[in-house]
Amino acid sequence: MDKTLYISSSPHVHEGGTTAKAMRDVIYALLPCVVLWIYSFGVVQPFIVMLLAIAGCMASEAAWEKVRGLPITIGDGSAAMTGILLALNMPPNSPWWMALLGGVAAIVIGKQVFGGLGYNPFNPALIGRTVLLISFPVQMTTWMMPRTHEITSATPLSEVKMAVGLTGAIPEELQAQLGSVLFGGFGGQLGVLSGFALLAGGCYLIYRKVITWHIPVSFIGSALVLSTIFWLVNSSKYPSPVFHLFTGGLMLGAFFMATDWVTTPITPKGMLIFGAGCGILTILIRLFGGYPEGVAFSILLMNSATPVIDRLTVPKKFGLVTQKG
Amino acid sequence: MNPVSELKRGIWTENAVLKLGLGLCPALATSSSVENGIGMGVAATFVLICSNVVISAMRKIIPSKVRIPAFIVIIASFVTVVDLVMAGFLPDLHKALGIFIPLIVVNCIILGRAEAYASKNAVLSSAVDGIVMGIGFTVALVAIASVREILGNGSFFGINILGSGFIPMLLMILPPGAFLAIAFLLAGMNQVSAEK
Amino acid sequence: MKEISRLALILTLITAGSALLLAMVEKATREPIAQQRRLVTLGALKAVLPPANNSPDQDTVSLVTGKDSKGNDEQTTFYRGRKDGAVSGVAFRVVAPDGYSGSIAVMVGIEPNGQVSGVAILQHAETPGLGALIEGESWKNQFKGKSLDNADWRVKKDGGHFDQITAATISPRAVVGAIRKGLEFYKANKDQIIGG
Repeated sequence: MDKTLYISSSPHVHEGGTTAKAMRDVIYALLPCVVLWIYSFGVVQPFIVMLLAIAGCMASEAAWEKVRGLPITIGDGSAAMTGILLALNMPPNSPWWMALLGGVAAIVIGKQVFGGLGYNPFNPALIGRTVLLISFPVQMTTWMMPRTHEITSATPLSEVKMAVGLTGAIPEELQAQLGSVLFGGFGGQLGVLSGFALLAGGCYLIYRKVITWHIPVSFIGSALVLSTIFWLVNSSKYPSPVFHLFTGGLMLGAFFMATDWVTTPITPKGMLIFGAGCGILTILIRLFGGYPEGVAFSILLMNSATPVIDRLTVPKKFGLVTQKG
Repeated sequence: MNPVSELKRGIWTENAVLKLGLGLCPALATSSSVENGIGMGVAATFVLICSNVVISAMRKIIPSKVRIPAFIVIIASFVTVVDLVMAGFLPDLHKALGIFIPLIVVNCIILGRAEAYASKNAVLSSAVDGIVMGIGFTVALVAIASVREILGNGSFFGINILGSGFIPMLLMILPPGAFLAIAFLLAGMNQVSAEK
Repeated sequence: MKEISRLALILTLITAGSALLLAMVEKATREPIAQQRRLVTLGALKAVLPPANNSPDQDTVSLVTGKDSKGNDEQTTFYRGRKDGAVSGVAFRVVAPDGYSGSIAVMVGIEPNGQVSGVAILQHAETPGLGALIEGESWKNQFKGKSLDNADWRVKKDGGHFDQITAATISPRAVVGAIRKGLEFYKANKDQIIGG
């Protein structure tokens, strides 16, 4: 008996995919948007913010894992990706320490305290952003006009919210101005150009099978439908669906943050529910909530609903026949 | 009874907030500044010592069937005394601590020590227990409040220590900051204890 | 039956003891507490009124200033500061119901000619570090000398004359609006307030 038969549980054939490979794909997909973002907001400053956010994430991940005596996982690129997403969620003219702190908060509070990658209930980059937004509301809402060095204090979303809160309607001149959001005419907005960059990145990820179409489509679709309904009901008070689509972080959120593997449902049906929830909550927060932008909050809220959605959408076992009798 | 080891018991090994998880409610709510933390700690310590002494002195008289109502009446009386005295002589602190002074009545630490210690031990050792447990509670509050006040307001005990260029991290003086500060202190203490 | 009456008796004795203690403490602190309350009001009055040498908290007139949600009359007390007998200013409390978190109570001092002599924030629950900056001296001082005639009582963002606070417009807007309403009431009822 010199031959030993090794038996292990499936899968037996592995196609060679690893976390590191998937993360590399996500980072490639983000590249067009990152380049556009850095270029549009004045190269040096956004570049530093981006680098520091990534550095904050990777350094705190390594430090935490060293103290806890765990294997150090910064090589898999997930911390770097969190840093990139966090930077894209911050004003490009943020002070350097804010980027660093955001990275630390994202990794420590958003990820490592739960046990690291795979255990975190919430999207770490969004946790980082939320910590910064609550801590430094002034700095986090002071945005820059693209391609100029002019600082403007309000994003189009907060302009609209303020006007509606004050007068109950969007004034004529603002209404006319809103169209320019598509071409980056407002603080912090890259408009259509970044929309296409993100769309291209998203399609690449779907092509590479890193993500599926379900969440982005149902996220954007439900946001579009709901905002169209409000717009048709009263277009003097509610901005147009095109405006909603290309402002704030909707595209970025739909393709890159609501599709995080760890914090979203695993079944196709669950993903559709998740995306629809994100889209509806985003529009409701934008129109009726206390904050002008709702993408981050809606994704975090739906993250917390993920276990329930997963439980409700357990697929039928293959070949299962319910016994009649 | 060794005072040093008793003190160590109150501050470290049986610290009410950071080891036993008791009294978390006031620890979260009144730790937004060091001053409030000390005020709350001292008020609770006073109540704890008085109630421990009285309950210990009466431990043979109080029938076990009605001990909880009896303890609560005694604790509530001392809390009301603190409330009135503070309103009369320390109005600013009274205003800052607000509803949390009457709520000392339901602070688990105090009823917990009455039930677990004072009702079984002599007056003197119950008094010492009240003192060390109260100090432990105060130390925990000051530790939490220091983190929150320094990061969230750039000051310590109301004195600006980080200069005017420091941009405070508002999150820390808001309620979520209390949870974060307690969680990280607790984790730190567990890490240190585990290494020993 | 015997057992239960014994329990009742002991609990009654404990409660009576507590009541006795509380009665004594209450008696001892009644004066200081009343004194402190008066000092709080006096302090706010002194901060907002022009120099006076009477006791404004004892020279008051109450008027109906509105209706509450049940349709009952709402009274506001107007405190009059006098300098050598002549009214030097009037102070009263206005409430801004539309703060960021709950209503904001403001003490406004007005000179007889309708100019604001000072503003003090009595009570608020605004976000620390943001809306709470309405308590800052420089922010409150911008109202001094302003009246309905020489200023547009809106924040700058809405086209008026008063500074908002960066990233917090709601609280300043609420306070400015409340002071404006107070000024309007004063203007309409000046004779009753000063003369009455």
